[in-house]
Formats: sequence, structure tokens, C-alpha cells
Amino acid sequence: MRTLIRMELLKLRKRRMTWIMLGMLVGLRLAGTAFSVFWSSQAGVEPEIRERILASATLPNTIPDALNFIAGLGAFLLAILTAASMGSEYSWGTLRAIIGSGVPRSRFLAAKLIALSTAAVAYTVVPLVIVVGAAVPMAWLLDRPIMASGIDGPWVGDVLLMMARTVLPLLAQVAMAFAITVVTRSQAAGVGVALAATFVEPLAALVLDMLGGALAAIADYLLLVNAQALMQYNGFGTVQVPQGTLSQTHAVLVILGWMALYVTTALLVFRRRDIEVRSAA
Amino acid sequence: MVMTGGRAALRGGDARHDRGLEAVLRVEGLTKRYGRRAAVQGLALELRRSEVLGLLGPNGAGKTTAIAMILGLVRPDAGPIEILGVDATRERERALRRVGAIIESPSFYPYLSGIDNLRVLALARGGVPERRFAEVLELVGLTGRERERVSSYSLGMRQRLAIAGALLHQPELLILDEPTNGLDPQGMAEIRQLILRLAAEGQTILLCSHLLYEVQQVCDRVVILSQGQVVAEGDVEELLAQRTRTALRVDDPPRAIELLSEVEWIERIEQEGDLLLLAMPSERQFELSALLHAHGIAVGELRVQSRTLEEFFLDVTGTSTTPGGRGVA
Repeated sequence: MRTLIRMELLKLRKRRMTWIMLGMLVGLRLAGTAFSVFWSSQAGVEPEIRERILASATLPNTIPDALNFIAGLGAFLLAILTAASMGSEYSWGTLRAIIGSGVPRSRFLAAKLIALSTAAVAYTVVPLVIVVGAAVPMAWLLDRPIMASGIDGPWVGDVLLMMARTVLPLLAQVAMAFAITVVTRSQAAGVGVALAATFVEPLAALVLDMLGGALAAIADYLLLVNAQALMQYNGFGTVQVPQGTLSQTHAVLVILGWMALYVTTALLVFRRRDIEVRSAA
Repeated sequence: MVMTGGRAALRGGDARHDRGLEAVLRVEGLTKRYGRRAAVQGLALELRRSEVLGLLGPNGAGKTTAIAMILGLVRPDAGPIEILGVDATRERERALRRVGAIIESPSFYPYLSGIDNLRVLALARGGVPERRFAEVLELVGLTGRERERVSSYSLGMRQRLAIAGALLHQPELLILDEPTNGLDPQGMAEIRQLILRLAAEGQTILLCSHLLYEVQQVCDRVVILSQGQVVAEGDVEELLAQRTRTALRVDDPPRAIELLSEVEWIERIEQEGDLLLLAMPSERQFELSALLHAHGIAVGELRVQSRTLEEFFLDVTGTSTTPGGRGVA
């Protein structure tokens, strides 16, 4: 199993797309922050708004802010990477070579998922580290303290929890794109459906809420609704969330449930289905 | 029957002269259906150690489907598959551990270099010693090109890299599906020489091809599929000897055809210009001559004609039949 994971990590590591996506995540965040700070310095911007922008560009608030950004854009990018990673095995025919060498199908899928999950963690940690690093000169430029408070155990614990809250929904997004790609054997479908869900699900939740009753309860079990709910808890210390926000426990369990569903579906389909050879049938 | 160079030249002194009795691959009653159509129906074959077995058939005959089932890519509807004594349908990983294969066109990660693609294949199998990469690259003639991206490789280079990948872990059974597909004549010759070299070193090979000249050069035995079923199998030389043709030139071809069509031991009659080609037991030549003479038909030429594997193949797959069911051209 270890060599299979190494194999998948090698493929991901050497793929230009992996680094381009990561670069986009970092670059867009840094550019967005720089632009926001610049814009906030313009005349006519309300002091409250300016202060909020400057706070989000410096420590410690840049951390939850950056993680929210990563959760949003990162979900898109990881869906694309996941669908490409699995879909291209079909389109390039490399699946034949790998499975035909005797690799058990479930182990192959597991290795690929683990590698993509590693990418999800990297897509969280690397941009965060860079953004935190950029916050130091930013604070100096803005003549603000580098850290509003000291770094202690609870502070570190809060950061780790925030990262975990960010990574979990990303993993669920990976699982969704993965399952769709495996079932459809199509990279395009994997990307398309995963991205469409990002737009469709919130609309569906809204409609279900409006319909009320039992239908409104269904919205509480949608993946992205729970992902967004979980992100609401990102912050230092005790975070005040809007009334009616789903609990963290509920959100985590629902997200894990969806992940299990997607992974199980992918596994069942992949294990049973013939790997097409063009000359067959 | 003509068998120039190739396997014939190798027979005298190669390491495979004493072919093993151990069955490296055995399938029995192998069947795969897609809806009502049987892509493979009741295939039985046995490949012995150090043997080169050709699996032939026209397009759509079921060759690639058969190989896909052996490699566990396609689930068979019936029939056990045994590789080196291991049930491949139950213990696929263990069975395929000692098999190297190319199925259909060579498939690689285009953004990876040649050697990185080999590394991927090596990791899929649990790893191979680092020195093995250089060995297989040298064997297939790709030394010096391994760091280039596969997307820049020619088709011939990809085929060679595919063979290198199949040989990485020193398999006991090598399965090659159309290894010269899409290559130019030089490329085909190079691959053929490589296969011959591997065979001479005792490699057990299942070669799937529709290039009959190539198979005739390389294979000891052949199994011929048509529409999913085995229509002929056996040693190449013996098969060709069974189906020799008798070339006949007479003064009255239409009368001769009419007469010979009624003879039960003449399976088939073809006409090429003024030459009649008869599929019949070669030992009945004298009987044939006497029959024609008795009916007043003069014989100008009567000889046993060597057959190529291609002619034999077309014959058994029925792709040269003509109206009347007797093959008269």
C-alpha cells in the first residue's frame, strides 16, 4: 500500500496542474488582500470597513479569513484536480496498465484518495503559511502590531481546529468529485457536477427552507450547507455564530456521512465494472 | 511451407529448444458476453514455459477481450484462468505478480518522462531495484531518451517503453497485444527482433497479433480465433502442412471444376487465372491425376503449393469464401 501511495504522490507532484492550482490559491489570496488594503486607503471608505479590512490582512484575523477563502476557492480547485487525476487515468488508458499489473482495485482507489487528501491538506497548509508570512510585512507597512496578542497553547489549538474545519469540507469535495468521475468515467462530468453542486445546493437549501416542515429539515443534511455551517465556527476563542447555525457536531457527522457515501459508491462501482479495452465489445 | 529466418533460424541453438512442459497459462471454456453477442466463447488454451504462442484473429475476433480477462480488466462470464498454477480469478494479485503485459496501445502519463513512467509501473508492483531501469531501457534501445517526456516520444518509442515496462519485474509470462501496431516497417522489424531475442532467451510469450507474417516468424504455436471461437490451433508448421493446397493446371478448367466439386475429399476449389487451387490431402495427388485423366481432362501442372500462415488464416476464418460454398473464384 505504501508504494501505491508513493506512486500516486509521484504522479500528483509531477503534474503541473497541481502546482498551478496551488499557485492560484496563494496568488489570488495575496492579490486580493493587497487590493483590499489599497482600496481601503481610498477616501470615502468608512472607518469601520477600513478597520475590518486591515484586521483581516494582519494577524491574527488573517488566519480565519484566509481559511474561509481557501475553503471556497480551494473546493473548486480540488474538484478540478481530483477529476483530472482520476479522469485522465481513463482517457490516457493508464488504468489498464496499473490494474492489469495486478494492483487490487480497492487499494488503487484508496491510494489515489489518500494522495488527493494529502493535496487537500497541502492546499490548506501551504497558502495559510504563506499568508501568515505575508501578514508580517503587511503589519509593518500598515504600522500595526504584528500580533494583537501572544501565541499560547489555546491560540495554537484554535488555529489547528480552524484548519481541521477547513480541511474536512475540502476532503468531502474531493470525495464527491472522485465518486462522480469514477461512476461516469469522465473528467468533465467530475468537474462539472462538483462545481454545479456548489451553486445548486445553496439554492436547493433555500427552496427547501421556504417550503418549511419536513422539507426544511432535509436542508440540514446537505453537504455544502453543513460545510458552510462548520466554517462559521472558525475564529479565536468562543465564536458567536448566527442563530440557527447547525452545531459543529451535526456538521461534522453529516460531512463524514457524505464522504462515506461517496467513497463507498466509488468503490462499489469501480470494483464491479469492467475496465474497457477499445477492441472489446 | 516457407519459414525463413526468425524462429526457424533460432531453433538450432537457442535456449528454448527444449520447451518446458509446465503450463504457465491455462484457460478453459473462457467466455465473455456483451448482451447477446459472445465476444469470446469457450476459449481453451495452454501456454507452456518458454513457448511463444500466437493468438490470432481478425478485428473483433475476441483476442483483446481474452487478454483483458486474463489480466483481470474484464470479468469473464465463465471459465477458469490459471497463471503459474494460481487461480487468477480468485487471487488476481498473486497470479499477475509474475506477468508483464501490454494491452492495446501503449498507455503512459504524457507529462511524465520515460523513466518516471517506468517508476510508476515499478511502484505499482511494489518497487524494483534501481539498476533494473537502466537494464530494460538498454534492452529496448531507449537509453539516453528516458528523461524526455513521453508526450515527445514517437509511437515506436512508446511501444518500446511499453515493452520495457512489461519487463521491469522480470516476468515469467509476457503478454503482448499487437506490439507493432501503428509502427512503420523499420519499427516493426525492431520490435520483432526484440521479441525474437526475448524468445531465444527463454521468455514465455503470448503474442496477440493480426500481422501473420510476424507471427509466423516468431511463434511456435498459434490459436486462431474467429467471432469469439477457436477455429484452429497447433504448431505453426503442422497447421500449414495440414492445409497445403494443390495447384492444378488443366486444359478445360470449367469441366474440371464441375467434376472436382463432387469429390468429397476436396474441401475447396479456388481459381486464379488458369490455375486451380485445391484444398485437399496432398497424398491424394495421384488419385486426382487419375480421376482427371479418366474424364479426359489433360493435366499440365500438378504440384503441392506451400502455404503461408496468412493463406491458412484466411482459409480457416472463412474470409475467402465464394458463392456455392466451394470457394470457386
